[in-house]
Amino acid sequence: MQLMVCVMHFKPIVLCSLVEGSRASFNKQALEQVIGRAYREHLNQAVTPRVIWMEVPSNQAFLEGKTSAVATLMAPVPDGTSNKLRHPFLYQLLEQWCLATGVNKNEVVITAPDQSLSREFLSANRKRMSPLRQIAYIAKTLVRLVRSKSATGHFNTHINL
Amino acid sequence: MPLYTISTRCPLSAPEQQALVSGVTEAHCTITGAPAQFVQVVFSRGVHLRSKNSLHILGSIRAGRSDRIKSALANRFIEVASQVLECSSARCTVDLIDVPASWVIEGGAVMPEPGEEQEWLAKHLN
Repeated sequence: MQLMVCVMHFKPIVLCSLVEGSRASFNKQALEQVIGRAYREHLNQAVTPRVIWMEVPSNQAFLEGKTSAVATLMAPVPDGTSNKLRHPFLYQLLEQWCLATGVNKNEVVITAPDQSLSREFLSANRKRMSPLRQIAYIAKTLVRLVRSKSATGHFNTHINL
Repeated sequence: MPLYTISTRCPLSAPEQQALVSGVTEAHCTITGAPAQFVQVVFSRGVHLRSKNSLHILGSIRAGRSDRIKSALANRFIEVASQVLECSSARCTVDLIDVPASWVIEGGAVMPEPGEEQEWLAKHLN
């Protein structure tokens, strides 16, 4: 019952970090459909996630000590979601992501955290900065998102501020 | 996972970045026993850090590490960063966030709990 209430008020913000020029960066439309479908099929309702694409220059991403083109996706689920629901959601995202982009399963890392943990992460990310700078950061990010949505149809931002 | 985001105000040179990546990766593996192929590092530039700090590391790590291990990680990262940037260790900060392994899929499979990596690697990556 508690989970059902959480799901009813659930408006996920999905954060996807992509290396500039990687295959996923040319397939945003298809990937947004993949993400939306995974939410609808596994959370059992018409959830419409907002997907934010964060571009990372190719010389700023590393795995195992070497430059990397691995994408990372943080797709929050309602607090208290069981792994019985969470794991099929994760596997569908992985499978459909690989199909849509042609990359292999080693080139994407997907996290489906409870929404409260996702918020904690975003909050820690803001708190790197002083309170005044946080306001400027939020404003700048919102402007970037609105402009890119209007110009490209996608919410795009950048890891560099 | 882990994913470490290293934020600085100014861009770092390629050798500085590589030294930080190597230092963070090596510290994570040595202190936690996790394999290097799990360790991701990304850099974020142009960040006006709190208290005029020189560098900040935000790490998402698998839950289940003890406070002693997390403290050792943070201390080693600060040591590495202050050496690479040639700044006071007081100007480098670290935040670590625990993420349950079972909430993450990497290498095509749900991640192992800390300490179960070798069986997981044998099963999923060979």
